[in-house]
Parts: sequence; structure tokens; C-alpha cells
Amino acid sequence: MRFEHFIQPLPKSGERVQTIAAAFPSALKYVPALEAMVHSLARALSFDERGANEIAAAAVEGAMNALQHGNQKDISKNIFLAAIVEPNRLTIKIKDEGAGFDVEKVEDPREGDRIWKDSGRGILIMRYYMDSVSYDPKGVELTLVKKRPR
Amino acid sequence: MKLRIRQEENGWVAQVEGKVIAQESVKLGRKLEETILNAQESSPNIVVNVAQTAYLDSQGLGALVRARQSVQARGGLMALSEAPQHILRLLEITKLSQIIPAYPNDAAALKAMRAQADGGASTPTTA
Repeated sequence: MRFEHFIQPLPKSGERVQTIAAAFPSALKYVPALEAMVHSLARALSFDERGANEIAAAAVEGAMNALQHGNQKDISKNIFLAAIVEPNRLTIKIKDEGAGFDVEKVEDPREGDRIWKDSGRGILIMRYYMDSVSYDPKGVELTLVKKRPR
Repeated sequence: MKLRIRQEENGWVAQVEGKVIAQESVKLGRKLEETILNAQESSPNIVVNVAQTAYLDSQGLGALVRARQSVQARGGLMALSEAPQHILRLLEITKLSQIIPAYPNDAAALKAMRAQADGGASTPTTA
């Protein structure tokens, strides 16, 4: 699946904002398709391979959280992805159909014995890869922002 | 993801290539666990070579943590080798570098783990 086919012509400085949306069932097997779409979009927007990998990796973390914690792996529930392309930045929104959570209550996975846990590093990794990571007040919609290369 | 596991004189080497995400992370965890559990040695050591790993998601990191615990439970050690800068940085950010050392190559990792098992020490790679 190649995302750039949906987004031509790519917006340049002064052009309008474009939004691309997709939905995925809550199953692990769909995550690579989501990753490929985001990676392909980032490359089409002139991010280098490393930058595209980082954006795609952040989207994977967001999708995995939505799938596992939000939708509780219920395949009848969807993960909604939106990519908003602006001249100076790329915004990725990932929304689930779960009950939401309080991001402030997420514990730091680096502290104490939590370093030995095999989960809980997704938000930390997203924050490392992206310029901005935020959740809506209900905790069902994630917003990831990365500045576009000049 | 491509995963190849081979046995060397002083331990096991798992070569992980490509993107390790979602189901692939689950597969990585399962294969490492199988290798550790089925190893004939009394204290198996395992090196995960990530030279060609584009990236690991948090599940993939979790698989490494589980493998680290499993190998420790059997009296063995685990380390990474040939980690590119972006993987070393990920280990630093998550502080997993405190529990999963990284070495420049497979031989250095195996030698260091052998030395550690014998009571010596060696300096791991830093980001």
C-alpha cells in the first residue's frame, strides 16, 4: 500500500492543508499496514529514512496503545488514523473506541523496578521521536506532531 | 523482520533484521524464549545482533527485557551487539542500557559474557 498516491500534489509553502484518513480493525496484523502508510507518507513529504522511521515508529506505538489498552483487542472496534499535512508540519491523529485513560497517571517506565517490565514504554518512545505528543482530555485521541524538513 | 539464530562456541547469536513491530515483536520474544529454554548449556548466553535492525517498537524492547530475565533465571547473560546509534539511543532513553549491555560485535559480546561468568568484566558500548 503506498500512501503518496492519495496525497498528490503534496502541499508546499502557501498551499492548503490536506487531511488523509484511514481506519484499521484492532488486530496486530493490521499494524504493519498502518506503519507502511505512515512511513510512505513521511518519505513523500521529504523526511529522510531515519525521520520517516521515527514517525512511523511513533504511529505504531500510538496504534498499539489504542489496540491493546483502548480497544482491548476487540476486533470489532476500529483504530482511526488521520494525517494532517501542513506546509511546515505533519500531524498524526490516532483515535480508539475505548473508555480512555489519564495520561498523567502513566508511570515512568524508567523508574525503579519498572525497568524490568516488558511494557509501558510506548509514550516515552513517542515523546522521543516526535516534536509534540498529546492526548485529548478523555484519553481516546492521540496527537503526534513533527516539523517538516525545509 | 528476518530472524536467524545460530550457536557459537560461547553462546547463541540472534541476528535481527528489519523493522520489529507488532506481531514481529511477539515472534522475536517467542523465538528468544525458545532458544533460552531449549539451550543445552547450564548457563546459556545470548547475543542479539541488531546491526540491521531498522527499529524496535516498545513490544520488541519488552521482548528483550523478557529474554534478559529468562536467561538470567537460567544463570546466563544477554547482550546486544553491533547496535547502530539509533538503537543505542533508544536504550539510553528507556534506560534499558542499564540492564542490557551492548558490545561492538558478536565476538566481543560473547567474550565479555564469558569473562563476566568467570568473574571478570568488560566495557560495553555507550551511545
